[in-house]
Parts: sequence; C-alpha cells; structure tokens
Amino acid sequence: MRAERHEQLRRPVDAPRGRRPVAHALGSRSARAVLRPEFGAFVGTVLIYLFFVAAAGGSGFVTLNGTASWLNVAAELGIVALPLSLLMIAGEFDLSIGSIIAGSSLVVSIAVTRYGVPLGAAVALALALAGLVGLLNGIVTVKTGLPSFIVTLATYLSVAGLTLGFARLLTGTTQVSLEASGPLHDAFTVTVGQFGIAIVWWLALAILASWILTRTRFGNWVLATGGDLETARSAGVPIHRVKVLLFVGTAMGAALLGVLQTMEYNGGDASRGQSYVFNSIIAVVIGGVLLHGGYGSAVGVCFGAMTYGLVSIGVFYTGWNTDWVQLFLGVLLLAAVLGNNFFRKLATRAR
Amino acid sequence: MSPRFTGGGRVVAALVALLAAAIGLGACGSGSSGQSTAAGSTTAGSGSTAKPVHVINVNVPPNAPYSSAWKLGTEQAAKDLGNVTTEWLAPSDLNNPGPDLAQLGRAAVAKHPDAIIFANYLPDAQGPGIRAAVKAGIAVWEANGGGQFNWERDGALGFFGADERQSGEQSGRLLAQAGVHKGLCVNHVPGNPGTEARCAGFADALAAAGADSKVLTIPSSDSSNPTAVTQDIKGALKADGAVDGVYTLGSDIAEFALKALDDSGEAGKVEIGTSDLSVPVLKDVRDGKLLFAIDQQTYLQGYLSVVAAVEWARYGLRPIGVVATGPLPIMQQDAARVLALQSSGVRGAG
Repeated sequence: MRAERHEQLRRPVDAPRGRRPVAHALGSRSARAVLRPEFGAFVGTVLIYLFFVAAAGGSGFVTLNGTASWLNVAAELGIVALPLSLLMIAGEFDLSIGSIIAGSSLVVSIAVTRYGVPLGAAVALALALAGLVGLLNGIVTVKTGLPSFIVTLATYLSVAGLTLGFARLLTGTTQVSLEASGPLHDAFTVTVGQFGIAIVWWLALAILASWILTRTRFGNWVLATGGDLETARSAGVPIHRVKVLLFVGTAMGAALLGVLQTMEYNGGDASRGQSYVFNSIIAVVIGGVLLHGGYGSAVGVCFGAMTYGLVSIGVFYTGWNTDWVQLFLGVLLLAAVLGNNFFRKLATRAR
Repeated sequence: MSPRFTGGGRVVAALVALLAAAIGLGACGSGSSGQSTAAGSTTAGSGSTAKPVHVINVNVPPNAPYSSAWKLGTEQAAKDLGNVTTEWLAPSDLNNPGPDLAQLGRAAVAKHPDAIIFANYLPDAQGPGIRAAVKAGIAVWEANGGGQFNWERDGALGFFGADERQSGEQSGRLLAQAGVHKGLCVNHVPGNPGTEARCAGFADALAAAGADSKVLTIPSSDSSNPTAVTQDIKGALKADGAVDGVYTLGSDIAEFALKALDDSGEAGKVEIGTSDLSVPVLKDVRDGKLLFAIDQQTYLQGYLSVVAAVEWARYGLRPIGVVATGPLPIMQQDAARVLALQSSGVRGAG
C-alpha cells in the first residue's frame, strides 16, 4: 500500500494535462470525494440563504442592494481565506493575518501622507513587508518544527506591536486618513451599483487558487504535504519550500485586503483586521478544508466565505434584537457546518 | 591578559574601565526609555531643577484614537512641566479588562510612584486596587469611566473626565431637537460600561423628548472590520424604516454609518451624530453630513491630570473635585475653527 502511494505521488509530475492529476495522487475512492468537496459547502450556502429569505425577505435582503451587502463582506473575507486555504490544505495555520491587515493599512497611509511616497510604491512596500513576515513565519516553522499555530501567534503579537508602536511614533495617532485618487485607487474602490470591486479580486484569486490546486504540480505538492508529510517527503516533494511559499502567499493575501480596505475606507487603522484571524479559518473550514489538511478546494472556500457573509450580515436584516446577535451567529454557523458535513458525507457515500 | 601590560598599564586600564562603567551607568539612569512591561512606556521631561515627580497612568491600550490622544496629553504635560516621568500601564488587549486592569493597579502600587491616575472603567474590579493605593500613601486621581461616581468613596483626590451618560444624553437632546422620532444607538463595544452608559443616556434623553430609541449591537467579530460594520448598520436601517436618527460611539463608526446611509439610498432622511472626533468626522460636521460630534477631550484629561499630580507633589496644590473635560459638542458652526486648530493626535485620529 505504501509502495503504491509512493508510485502515485511520483506520477503527478508526468500526469497528462486535462486529467486531474490529484486523482492519481490520492487513489480512486478519495479522488471522487476530492472532485466534489465543494458540494457540501454549496448546499450549506443555499440553505442559509433560503433561511434568510424567509426570515428577512421584507427588509430588502433579496434586492440587488441587499445581495451586495453580504457579497461585499464575503468577497473581502474570500481574498484572505483563499491563500490561507492553500496553507491549511498543506497542514499549517496562520494567525498573523489579522495584524498584517492592520499593518499594511498603516504602511500605505503613513508612507503616502507623511513621507510623500507615491501610492503605487506604498502599496508595493506594504506587500513586500507582508511577504517578509510570511517568509519569517515559514522559515521559523520549517526550521524549528514548532507548530505554526504558535509561531504565527507570536508573529501576530509582534506585528501588532510594531504597527502600533511605529504608528504612534511617526504620527502620534492610531488612525491615519488617506485621501487618494488615480487608477490604482480606482482599481480597489470602483463599484457597480453597490457591488464593490473586491468581488472581482476575490473571483480572480479563486480562479488562481483553483488552478494552482488542481492543474499544477505545485498543487499536488500542497495536497501531498498536507495529506501525509512523510510520504510526500520521501516521494521527493520539497515540503519545506512548499510551506514557506504558502506562508508568503497567505501574508500577501492579507496585505492585499489591508490595502483594499485602506483605499475603500480612506485610511489606515491599527485595530483593523483582528476579526479575520478566526473568520478566515471559519470560512476555510466551512468550505470543506479539513483542519488537519490534505483535502479541500478553492470553490468550496468561496462558498464558505459566502456562508459566513450571509450569516453575519443577514442577522441584521432580520430586525431581531441585536443583543443576542452573537448567539444567532454561533447557532447559524453551526447549522451551516452541520448541513455542509451531512451533504458531503452523502455525496462521498453515493459514489 | 596581554604580557605587555606593565604595572602602570594596569592602572590605566583600570581607570578606563571605571570611566566606562560610570558613563554606562549614567546613560542608564536618565533619558526616556521604553519600558518593556506588558505595555508600559516612560516619558521624562528634562531640563528643569524642580523636584522630580513620577506619575503612573493605569489605563487601556493606546490603540484607539481616544486613548492615543489621552496618552499624548500625559506625555506633553510631562515635557512641558519638566523633570516629570510618566508611565502608561495598560494590558496588551481588552479581552479581559477587569482582572487585567486590577492587576496593573497592584503593579503600579508596588512601584510606589508619587501619583497614580486610574482610568476607572470597571469600578467593581478596580476599586480594591485603587483603595489600596490610597492606603499606601500614594496620591490617587481617577479619570473617565465610572470613576465619576466612585472617586470620593475610593479616597481619590479628584476626578478628570467626561460623564459617559451625560454624553449620551446630550446626543439624544441634539437629535431630538433636530426632529428625530426614533433614534438608534450603535454600540460597537457591547458590554463595556462606558458605551452602555452612553446608550442609556441617549435613550433617556429621547424618551424625555417623547421619541423612541433602540440599541444596535455590533458583535465583536465584526467590530474591527469596516465592511462588516457598514453592512450591519445598513441592514439594521433597512430592517427598521422608522429609524431617523443614529448615534455612533466612535469616530470611525460614524464614517461607516455615513457610508451605510449612502449605500442604502437614505441619505438626507437620517441624522447622524457621534461621540469622539477625527479629522474626517470634523470635515463631515463642517459640511453638514454629520449633525454633531461630541468630544470627551481625552487629551485634556491626560494633560490636566498629570498637571494636577505634579503640582500636588511639588507644591501641595490641586483642583477640587471634578474637572469636567467634556462632553464638548461640536456643531457645524464650530467645526471649521476646530479643524484649523487640529494638530495631529491631539483630538484623536490624524
């Protein structure tokens, strides 16, 4: 069985285009499940949507405007969740994205308003700094063998401290306004009606992530690294390089959202982004990625983000007493995950 | 030791070593250094021959405009008065404020400064620590939060701050005067006594004017996400079309409420006012988009409380009782002047 797995892992390198190489890597029974990990997430999303149509229909939830409400939230969550999902499929966590969102928002704002740096260079700087943080996360995790949970928790705290310290040192405040304009600014803020351009960024990232995961050798490596580390290593998968690259990607995804929100909300804020630390993991898990890695799809994560967006915004359209809002969030999320789970098991058993 | 060191050479070496040690010790003893407690930081004003005074602030982390401005006020006072060391002891986050603030209070007492200024947000948890400080012979002031009702009982020498409930009442009155019939208080820090008091005052003032009111709770999982807060407010406004007045408790929340209003196409039908300032908020008040902004003037709280502590330590002088630093309502006609005087950090966000 082990020899067979070795063979299967080697084969993806030469797997013919057009056939899903992942299927070869993981054996035929798992292949069918992997082919539809998003089915459960899709059903969960639809059920939650129908629930809110029933509970909140009269308040404009089903209008275009109402749809834009939750879709905008889902899109921004998706931008962070998609790179993170690749990392989690490879078996690692990243808690530092919250601080990176805040940090990048202030890097851009302070560079432009206090140092006259052109907007494009400031955005590039923010992304580069985030990439460095991701590199640090990755190198420390693979070199020391410590759980990434701990390593990225330490980075989360450190980056938060650096952000606040530098913000107050350089500007005396924790919120820095930025009124920008021009094509780069528009690329992050243009809207069609109420629908924000974040949706386009999200879909582009989804296509990219999906392509990486299902059509490239690197994607196979990601799945293999998360599935069985030792087998992957002995089959020649460069697991350390894979992990470091995924950490860099996750950090830069967080910075991308930080930059986007900076443009959208005309400034940076040291306290931004903290909710994404757990919301992004929730979206990824609802999307069908297993917590211990080795399994998942980008489309599923998109549905996970949509489910979370629906739940967190829908409760406000219902007009229910918001003192209880966190209870509603918890119950609805649990219901979504249970529904997701049920249908995923149904789908895998039917094959 | 090199064999070339002769007797005379050894004496010179010893003198050099002694000199280096003296310089090193001297450098350690003065100047401002960042203290690495959970979140402590020190500022020392220099160049004065007045008696040195050590003041500790026990407060929240300076990661929001109002607390950042507060800390700036304390630091500026130290600089202006000269020979004053101020410290800012705060937990690294507000996930466990009661126990954390109580613990920092004990740490402050153990350092035995000349004065401690307590931001008494949670009187039940912090009270014992404050009273212990008084008993230890340290001069104690309370600022902000629930301190207004407890400072005398705790044995503090005075109180600096704005009454949160009064801020809420003022907002309610201003909105009622503008013709609001149903007000919405957007509480983005649910469970916090300060924000709860503001919403309670708001509700009272509206009720007294014959209007209705309710509270919108923004869950903590959304409060650091501008898109989520904007959409939450938009959803709430859509779900209840009777709401025609909104009171937000943070300068950034006011901006999100304005955006929510624009997005839902109801601009002009709903009046919005806020507590706490920022440059964008001031501009919106000046341009008539926001009805008012209420400033609790935390910079003044920080500045004046340190001045009082220093004057008491040096000369036995102090203000009597409550020094109210707010609420100061800023309406459209005041906004331009405030903007012209705005310098970074003094009123919050820059």
